[in-house]
Amino acid sequence: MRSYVLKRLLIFLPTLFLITIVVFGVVNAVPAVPQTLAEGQEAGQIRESYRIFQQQFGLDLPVFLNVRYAVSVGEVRKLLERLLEERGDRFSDPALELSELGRHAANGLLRIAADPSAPDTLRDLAALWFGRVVRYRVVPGEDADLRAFKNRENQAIDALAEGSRGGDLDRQRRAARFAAWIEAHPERFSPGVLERLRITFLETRFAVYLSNLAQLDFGLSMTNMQPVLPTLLNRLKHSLVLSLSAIFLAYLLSIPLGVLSAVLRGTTFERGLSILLFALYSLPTFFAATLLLRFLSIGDPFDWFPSGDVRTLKGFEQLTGLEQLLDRAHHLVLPVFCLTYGSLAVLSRFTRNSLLDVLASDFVRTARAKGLPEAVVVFKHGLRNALLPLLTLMGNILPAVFSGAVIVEIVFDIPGMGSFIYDAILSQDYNVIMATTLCAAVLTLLGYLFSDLAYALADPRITLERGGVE
Amino acid sequence: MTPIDPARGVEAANIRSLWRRLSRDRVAAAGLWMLLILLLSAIYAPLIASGAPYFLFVPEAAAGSGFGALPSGWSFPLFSGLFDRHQFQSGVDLFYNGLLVASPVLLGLLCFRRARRRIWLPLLIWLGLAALLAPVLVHGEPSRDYRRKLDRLSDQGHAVRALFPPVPYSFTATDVFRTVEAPSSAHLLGTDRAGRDVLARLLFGARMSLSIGLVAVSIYILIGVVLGALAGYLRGWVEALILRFVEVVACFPSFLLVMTLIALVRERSIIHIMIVIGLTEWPTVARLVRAEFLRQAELDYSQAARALGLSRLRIIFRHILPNALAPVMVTAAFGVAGAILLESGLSFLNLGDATVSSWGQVLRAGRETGELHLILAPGLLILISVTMMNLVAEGLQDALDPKLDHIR
Repeated sequence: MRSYVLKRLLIFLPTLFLITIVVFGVVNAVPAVPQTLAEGQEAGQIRESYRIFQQQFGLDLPVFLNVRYAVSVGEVRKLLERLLEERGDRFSDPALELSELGRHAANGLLRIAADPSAPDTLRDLAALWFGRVVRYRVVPGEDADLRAFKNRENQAIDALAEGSRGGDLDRQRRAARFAAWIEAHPERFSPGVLERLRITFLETRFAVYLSNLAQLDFGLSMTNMQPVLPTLLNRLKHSLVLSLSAIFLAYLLSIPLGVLSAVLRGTTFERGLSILLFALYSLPTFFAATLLLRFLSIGDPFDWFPSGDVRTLKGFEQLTGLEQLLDRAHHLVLPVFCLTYGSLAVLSRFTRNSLLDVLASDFVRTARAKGLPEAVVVFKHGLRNALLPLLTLMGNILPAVFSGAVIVEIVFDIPGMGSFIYDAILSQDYNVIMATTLCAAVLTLLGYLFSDLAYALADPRITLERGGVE
Repeated sequence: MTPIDPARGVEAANIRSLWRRLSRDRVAAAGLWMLLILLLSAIYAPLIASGAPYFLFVPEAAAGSGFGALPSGWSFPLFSGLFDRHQFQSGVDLFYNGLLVASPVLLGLLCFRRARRRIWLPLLIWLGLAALLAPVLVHGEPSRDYRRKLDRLSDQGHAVRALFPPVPYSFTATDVFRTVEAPSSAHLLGTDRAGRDVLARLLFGARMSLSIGLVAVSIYILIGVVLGALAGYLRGWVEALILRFVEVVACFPSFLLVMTLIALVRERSIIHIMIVIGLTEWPTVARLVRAEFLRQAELDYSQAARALGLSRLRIIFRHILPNALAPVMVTAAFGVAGAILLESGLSFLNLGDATVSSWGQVLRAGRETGELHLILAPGLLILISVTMMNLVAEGLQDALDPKLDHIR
């Protein structure tokens, strides 16, 4: 038993890691340049502000593997030639690619700048970009010593290219100064095997994100520049209240329904009930929610329930604790109903079949043979054993409820996780999308874990080989 | 010497007894009939709702010339327009129109059992080719407003004759003078914001929604069956890898995942929606198939196949798989309903393909107007068809479960 729990918990971490990889890969699969990037007059400015934005969010790094140190002279040369065709435009695509390569392009640029057979314009452009890519990037928020060091170094770099007035000799001298600079900083420009490994795996978007994640830093929302986590937690609260009360209610209703349809199996009542439950199962959440809102809350014909949000906005603070609770419950009625009815069919069906299985077993026959009343047989012998497998369904119901919650939250205007991710999707707010998807996945994983553990606790026969993930 | 294939014979017998059990279940049988009606109305939608008449007679004197003029003499605009790219823009519609044209042949095949086996394959190939070639073969004519033209001609005293379908509107034709109308004798279910006839839109929406369900489910059944079969038979690290992957994908609430994925697609089309649903829903199938494989691999027949020295792939796909498919059929049947619901949910959130007329899109368009009847019609249609599908799936599940025989 203890080893089972331990194993189950150990599996949790790698799964979490894989989930993070999947979420990250999916969200970052889109090309980094947003579709709003226009051509034409202001394209340069937009591109520049986008570049700054990218650096701010670490989007200029490769997603999973960084092999930029392996860039060849030929590739750098091609970029430079394309840049020449763009007349050296700082905001053109090749320029963006060069600045993304950063210091890894330095060796290639140096070779071109030092190559006497290359055209003069190309050599000058290479020298110009050499000065740009080797500069240290000053990041806001770092300590003063580091900043002073970076500024000093950057001035030295600027000085390298000065005093060059054209002519072959001048260009050679400039290239020699560059080469000397590079040799003086081997740790930046000629990485060893270990350093290359570090760059490959750690200088990536994923590594940066993961290390932030380890400190529970989900980044900033790109729309309002606020940290994602506090907002997420705040919204999660509403979603959890909604989902958990829906699940609780679903179990509460479907167990009696399941028992009823097992006892009355084959009767017209049972068939009618099962068709009704299936119709509810097939009822689209958005349709039900729209209709309920239309009929029961906007006053045509009834205005029994509020039309949205989780509490009354005006005068909520003046209410007593109990009244506040009632007010919240009043707001929850319709959304919870919309989330509950769908899972009734699955749960009650499962209860019924599981109960029928148990009732067909030998010990129930023995109990009946002893002359026990039917109610005792069904509830004491049957139901107790039949409810066990119901625990495992918890893991399957949770994702379904989360899915349903998205639509319910949007229709009823509840500031929960579902509407959070919907807004984020509409505004392409990557950090929020990732954080919310991750959060939902982790909650589901916890749900599986919980239901497996509860099952294992309740049934001592379960081992990892038989239950759980298998 | 022809190789003996025990799986096939068993399968055929199974299907026949399955059919018998299923039709004994009254609820499931009723559901099947309604689904058949739905399918037929999807296939024959152009014959029920179209802006073009079945036949048209225009006297020589009335036939004008120039752009969009009506041809003189007898013509059959509805039928000649079946592959007209102005009337049917999407490949889905062209495919259904191909089915419509082929339906007499199909019907004949159903009646003459003998010929069936031999003709199936060529027919399928022909249908596939037709579906592939349809976009190339289609012709385009300027779309005409037949009714208005004919009205004008008969007002001028010409003896024009035409027979229109019961719903004389094309599902794409807009009418700026008759937007958001309540149901009337002219438009049985009213018109939407663009003045399109809602009934016609729903009829053609059946085509779109059924296709979404079938294609999406086929995609994920394919993925799930292949991965599940490999995991269940090969075991070892392959199984561990696949299981881990299954567990990871299963952790995402499917609607959330579909939403996120579909939002990443730049120019969304209905194909993308099908693929995204297919890519997210396969873990259930993979799990089921694997579990079934573990069970089947222990049975005598698969041990016999192994003893015969057959190759692993052959055992997996020819021997065990046909026997392991029963639970998959149930999942598929539930899945079609689920996929239709998913797509309509996406459409509701404005994340669908607004250029097609799936049921979800009709409902979304209706919701924008705020008119109750425009929400009720598509919503109830979705509700009823999805309920029918689920009831049939449930019946299938019961019919496949031998345990229920002694319980009932």
